[in-house]
Amino acid sequence: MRDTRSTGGRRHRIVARLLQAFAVVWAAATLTFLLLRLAPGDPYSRQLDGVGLSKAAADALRAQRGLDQPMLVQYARWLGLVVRGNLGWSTMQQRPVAHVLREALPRTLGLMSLALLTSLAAGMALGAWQGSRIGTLGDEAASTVSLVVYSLPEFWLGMLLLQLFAQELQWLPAGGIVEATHEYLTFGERLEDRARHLVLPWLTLSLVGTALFSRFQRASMREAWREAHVRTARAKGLSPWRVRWHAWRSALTPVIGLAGLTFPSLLGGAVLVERLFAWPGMGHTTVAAVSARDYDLVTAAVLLGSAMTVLGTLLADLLQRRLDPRVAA
Amino acid sequence: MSSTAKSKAPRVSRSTRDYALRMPLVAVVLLASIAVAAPWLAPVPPNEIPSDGLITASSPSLTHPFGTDPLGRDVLSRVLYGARVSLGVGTLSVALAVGFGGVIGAIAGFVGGIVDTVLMRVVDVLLAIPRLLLLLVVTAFWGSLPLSGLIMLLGLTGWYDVARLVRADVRALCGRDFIAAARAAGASPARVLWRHVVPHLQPTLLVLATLGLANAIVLEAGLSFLGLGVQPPQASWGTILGDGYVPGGRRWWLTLFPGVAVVSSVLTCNALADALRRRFDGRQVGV
Repeated sequence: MRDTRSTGGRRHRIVARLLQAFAVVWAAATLTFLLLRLAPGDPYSRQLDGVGLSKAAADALRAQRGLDQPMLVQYARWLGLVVRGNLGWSTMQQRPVAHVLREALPRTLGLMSLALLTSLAAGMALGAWQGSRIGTLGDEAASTVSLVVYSLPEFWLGMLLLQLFAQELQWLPAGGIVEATHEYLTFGERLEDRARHLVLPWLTLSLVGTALFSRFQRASMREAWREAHVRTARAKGLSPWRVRWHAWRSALTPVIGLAGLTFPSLLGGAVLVERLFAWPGMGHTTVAAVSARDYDLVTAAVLLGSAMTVLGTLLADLLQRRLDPRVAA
Repeated sequence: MSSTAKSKAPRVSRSTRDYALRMPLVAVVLLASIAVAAPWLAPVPPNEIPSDGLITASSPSLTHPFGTDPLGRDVLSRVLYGARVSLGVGTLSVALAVGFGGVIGAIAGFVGGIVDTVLMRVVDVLLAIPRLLLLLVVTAFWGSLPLSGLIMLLGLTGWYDVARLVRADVRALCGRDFIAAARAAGASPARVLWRHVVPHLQPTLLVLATLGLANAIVLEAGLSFLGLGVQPPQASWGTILGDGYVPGGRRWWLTLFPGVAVVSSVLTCNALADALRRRFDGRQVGV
């Protein structure tokens, strides 16, 4: 029933969508490339460590990196490199962009996927619970709390948690991934060290995320409750849990869509939270790169960000079609 | 037992619904009056550095109910004046975004064809660039933007969703009978668009503007916190948060009070958007 179209048609559609996605990412990266170079200043117009460069030295460095060439030439060279999988050279860190990303990306993805999974699980559970008892005291209370939490800016919630648990109570470390003494700890202590550093940023992101998903799940569950097949399930005398399961299944589609939209925040959405907790991931690196006018690193960050955005939407769409035949119609 | 669940579901009484709408509306009026009346409410000018030489952050006291910042400035006054900047920047940028996005979306949806395709592909590309990253790049590269620049920037990065949703609305409306009737009666395309389509966009635009305002307030606060948004010595809620924040410094009043101001505005917007959505959906069901 689900496969009303031939697999060939579906494959064709996926290929078309992928091509379109590539075009979007290419255009977004090109826009960024131009935006950076149209802005005043370049990587060598001011030095990070406070030591000014002489004009001659800056010009020599520009020539070395090809920044003295016409913009079109620079663009062609950059595009040629990117197509071959070379994201360029980070002028801030004096090493290939790929190396910088290889270090920063897993840290961000680790923190973010943990937070996203927690938010999804907790938010869907809470929202589904509320959705099957709309209008009760428990539902109203939970709705009010999640509306308030949803309205908290993540970085501000982080600041509060940081000041309470790290500075006043001193239960948890104030930032970073590990202690300076991490190398000298035993295996068990290392795990504990990592976990203790993870708690505050994870909690900050998960609380707001849970509120977001629970609000959404509640609304879609409420809609699903009115659908004919749920009424049928109830009329057949199925147990309340089975009925809830039927409603939840059709309430799933919009939540998956939202998860797809939230996917790119894995990369850039938590810039401020990473900054706050000195978490040396993509967000932290990008902020530093932006103020150092590190062309290639910033462009690579935007490239990754837009690729994730497009990919998230695409994946959510495909998953929705798979789970809910009505979407394909 | 399932019958009790069923009977509970639709019982959202009219009075509850009005209450849910009235509360945030009262809050909107309250916030707006605070911003307007800041000069009369603030105990001292927001940028006044005490002449007695107490240039240090002090915790809340009777003379400074919200404490002082590291330069000895009164935080209460700065939060009150900050309302003007934070809410003003938010409101103006959202007006820009909704206006621009509305026009683009209406054109795309109404004209259709190649115009629609081109405009929507452009929106696709712009949507793919993470907004916060783009804001960071522009504010850092161009450096210390004036307030008008910040408003423009937030407005010009906030219209994509408006354009997409307005386009969808316009396209759906154009298929309805009353539009066909207006056309058949000889109304010009401009008249059909202005008199028959645009009035129906009101719910979408109102909800999007409210949500956009919440977003803009948070973005302004975040950028100013990083020192990339509103420039010193001007007070906005984000700059007060940024001025006061030193890792390890125990100055909770510099985090709490401006933050509560941000949260109460954002909460107001979100509650208002919820109430509006519920009300408009109800009307649609009724019609």
